[in-house]
Amino acid sequence: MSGTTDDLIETYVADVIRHLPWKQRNDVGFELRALLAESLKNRAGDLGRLPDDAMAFDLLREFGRPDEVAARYHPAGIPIIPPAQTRGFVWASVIGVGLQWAISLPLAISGQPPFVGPESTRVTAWWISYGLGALWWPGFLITVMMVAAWVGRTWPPADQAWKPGKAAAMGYVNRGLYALGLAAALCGIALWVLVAWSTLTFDNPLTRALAFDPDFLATRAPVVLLYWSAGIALLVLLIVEGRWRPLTRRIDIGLKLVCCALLAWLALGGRIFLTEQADQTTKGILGLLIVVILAQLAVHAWRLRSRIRPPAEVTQL
Amino acid sequence: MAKPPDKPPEPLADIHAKMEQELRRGVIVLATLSQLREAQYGYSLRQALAEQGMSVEEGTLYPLLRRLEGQGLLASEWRIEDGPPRRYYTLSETGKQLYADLTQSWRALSANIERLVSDSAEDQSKQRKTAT
Repeated sequence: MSGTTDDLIETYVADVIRHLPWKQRNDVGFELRALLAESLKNRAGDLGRLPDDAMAFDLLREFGRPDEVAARYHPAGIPIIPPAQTRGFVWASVIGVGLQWAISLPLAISGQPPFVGPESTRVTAWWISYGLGALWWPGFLITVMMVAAWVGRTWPPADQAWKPGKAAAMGYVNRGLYALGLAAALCGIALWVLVAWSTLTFDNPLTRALAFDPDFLATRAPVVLLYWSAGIALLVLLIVEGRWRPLTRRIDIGLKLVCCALLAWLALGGRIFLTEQADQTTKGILGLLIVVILAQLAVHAWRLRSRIRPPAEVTQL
Repeated sequence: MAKPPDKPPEPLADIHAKMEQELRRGVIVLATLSQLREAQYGYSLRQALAEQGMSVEEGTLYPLLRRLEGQGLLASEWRIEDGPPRRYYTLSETGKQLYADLTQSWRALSANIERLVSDSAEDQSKQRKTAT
């Protein structure tokens, strides 16, 4: 063998072993170099000529890329992001970074926080601060997944067999939790009536601060109590039956839609409290409640959409 | 109505090559263990396998030997005989046990597959006769 074919093999082997753990490198390198040299010698012998660079190149190319060969020396690794979660990870990363950009870029362009420097560099300044800074989010997600994978490996669950998911997914209700919800709803009504009665009966700074608007008490409050009663009736029904049924699900969706409309009417239909501060705070909370209920409805609609349906080919039969 | 394919179909020869590679990949370990009842070094093992119709790429075989050794299935030692120092591998006690178990599994699997493909060949033959 010529010096250059030796050098080629030596370089190739060095490229392979630099991907290996330190302790393995010399031993694997020594063995691999000898095996490749013998393989080349025999290949040349079969062709009836001396080994040359082209032949060595062919041999090494067939052997594989050094990083791939090195990977074969390792046992199969554990992926940080399991294949089944890759899609979710990509979506969570894109949405998280996109949201940060969508909020920070318009603020930066509109001068929040105040920008010091030439106007032409405003976007550049945003990019090297909040723009690139938003990439902390995918890094954070990867760190969480690494920790979760480590915890899963260190303390694997005792029973990894499949079980029918949460009771809620099967339509069963947690009676204890629902009973607590019922108690909370009844306490809410009692508190509501107590506050209304107190503001009409006593005169002190607290009752003045919480005094209801007379128009609200006369028109919208009875409707709220009526709605509340319907919600309580549904809760009682669910506690008695112990599970959701298609009818109770439809009633629940209907009540949520009515609730959104009712809350919007409460917020936009005039004053609720006589004092400005209590009125504005309550209306802010009502707005937040509308967002939460709409989000619940959206999640419910999404779950319905992701249920298994017959493919188009089947429905056409 | 059958759904039209999203992309043009892969040539049959390519699919065949991939599937055959998958099949071979599944039996490389058993083939390797079978030849290591006696000590062999990497190149001699490859030759032994190739002579019996089971050629394995060097880039696959040499790392595999190290992995099997790491799993405690092979024992190895450096020897200098007629040439440069070579690392010889042979089955460890665990490797012998695993080889026996895998051989049994292979025989059962092979017999089942043979039965399946024979039945399928007979059916095809009957269909051809009916058609003619």
